[in-house]
Amino acid sequence: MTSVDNVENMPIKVRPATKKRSQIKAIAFRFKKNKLAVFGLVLLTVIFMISILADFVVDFDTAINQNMQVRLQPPSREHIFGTDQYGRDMFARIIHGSRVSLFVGLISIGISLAIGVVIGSTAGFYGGRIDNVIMRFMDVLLAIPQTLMAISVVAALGPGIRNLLIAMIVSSIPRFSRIVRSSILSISGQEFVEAAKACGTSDFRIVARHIIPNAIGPIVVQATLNMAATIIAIAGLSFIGLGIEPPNPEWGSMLSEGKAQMRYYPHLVVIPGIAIVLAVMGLNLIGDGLRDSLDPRLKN
Amino acid sequence: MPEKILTIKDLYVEYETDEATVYAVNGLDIEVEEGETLGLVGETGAGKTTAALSIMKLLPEKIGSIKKGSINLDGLDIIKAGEGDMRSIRGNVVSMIFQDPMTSLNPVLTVGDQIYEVLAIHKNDSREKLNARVDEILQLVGIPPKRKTDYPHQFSGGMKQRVIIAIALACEPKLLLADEPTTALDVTIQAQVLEMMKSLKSRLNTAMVLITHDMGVVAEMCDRVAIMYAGEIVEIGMVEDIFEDPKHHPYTEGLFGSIPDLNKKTKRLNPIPGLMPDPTEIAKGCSFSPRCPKRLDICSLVQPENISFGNHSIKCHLFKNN
Repeated sequence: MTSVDNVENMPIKVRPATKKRSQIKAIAFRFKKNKLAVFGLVLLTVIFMISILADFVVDFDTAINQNMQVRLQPPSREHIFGTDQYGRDMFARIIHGSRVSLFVGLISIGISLAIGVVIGSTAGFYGGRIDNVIMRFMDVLLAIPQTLMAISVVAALGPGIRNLLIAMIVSSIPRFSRIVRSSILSISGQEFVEAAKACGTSDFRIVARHIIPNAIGPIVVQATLNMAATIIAIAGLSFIGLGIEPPNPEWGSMLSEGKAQMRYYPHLVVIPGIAIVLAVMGLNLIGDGLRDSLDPRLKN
Repeated sequence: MPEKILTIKDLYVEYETDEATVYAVNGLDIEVEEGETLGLVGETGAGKTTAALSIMKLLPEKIGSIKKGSINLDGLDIIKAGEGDMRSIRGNVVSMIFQDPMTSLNPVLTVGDQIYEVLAIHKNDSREKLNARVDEILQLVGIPPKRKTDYPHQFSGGMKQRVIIAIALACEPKLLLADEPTTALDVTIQAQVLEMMKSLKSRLNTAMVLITHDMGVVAEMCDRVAIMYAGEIVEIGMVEDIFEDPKHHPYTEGLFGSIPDLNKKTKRLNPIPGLMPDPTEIAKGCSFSPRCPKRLDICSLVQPENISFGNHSIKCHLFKNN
């Protein structure tokens, strides 16, 4: 056995020079290996770019100006997605409609995730009475179906983007709190948390640095899936006329307006439908890929 | 005269559950001097870990509580200390090494980050200095510093335990509580890790409480040994007293008797007959008396007192008249 006193002089076995990657690079590397996830990311990036650059692609006026002479035209060279029953260019409406879905989806998920993490980790980490009070309240919110909840919020406050946001945030918070709480409960019982306590780590630091990173998988998956659900919910609300007010374009309201002519002019519903499917699918694929690549144990 | 780092006097710890109250530690007295290694030996459930956790004030919330006694750690009264005070001494003045290296490291942080964290909490220094210290401490436990960007799952069990030791010693604490640090490792790695702990300890002049049930480890590592049974110290003395003095508590004799002798051919091991007393009931007399082969009439009625022979002291009625 080697004495440890002269460990400095001991020949250190140097491993063959593998490239040391930073954490973000390592995650990106693992993410890239998942072809489907990369496809999802590309898809969503394209949709994002389109929605950001919408004004440069097509004028907003083209999306709302009615032109009865060209109503209900199938896709052609002039109108590549055709026109709707008021003669508005579907291509312009799809592109400008992406703004609402993505904007409301992103912001509402961001805010409800932040609130949910705070609520869930407080409940899970401290337990006892605090946990009971918070989680019973969350259960009450959870008992109301998300769409119903959103409908009632919008019905009470009136339609519009701001109220749509509030409705989406209020209805997603309980889901995030639940998932964060349960991950925290299972992780905070593990020995490394006790070891961190034995090093004098503060509660906040333990939760923020030791517990949440271990729970990031389920949280990220929940966030991306929830964003997909939110996009569908926005479409649903607009479909029943509680989302975006006409004539502003929105995928769900386009579906709704097109449903009367669906039989003879299927492009009215197929095209916004495909747009929704692509955005939601992209998000789901990214969520899946992120879950795998965020866990360093699954490396290689 | 070396300074006393840790003084525990008459400590009583109880766990209260819905079904019963468990008397885990009953009147524990320990003193640890600067730079000294005290071995805490006893069978499972003797209250060794409970004693260590009460020093850190990390007993399970709501159920575990210190009922009586005092703990003085480097001049600080642990019983009265608030959570803020405790936080600033944990990892800084007193560190703990847990039994299982597999689960004591956070799987999603690199080992370098985990060592850095203790330093960042307790030392007010620049990032570069702390990072240099991380390298230094890794070198000290025999891990090439370039591996600090690796994750725990890329290390073997022995290496992980080295990392844990590095975390525990990063701030050069005055007292190290090692709760069976080598139980989860195989024998050759055990020897390496113990050797390393020994040399680091003497280099940093850290006192250590080594919890174990391995008498070989005790003989190798410790200056003094305390034998624990049912939450109290039944015998304490220098290593030589425990291993060479003919006078022993019957429990200690039983412990030694249960170690198989390489030179003798026996068909069976010699365990101590019986089981640990039910920790939910307090025995009236000596807690070992139901299992004791040398039991006297008085044993089941009166609690024995400490009887000292210099440094060596035994809690048993047998030695009362000597």
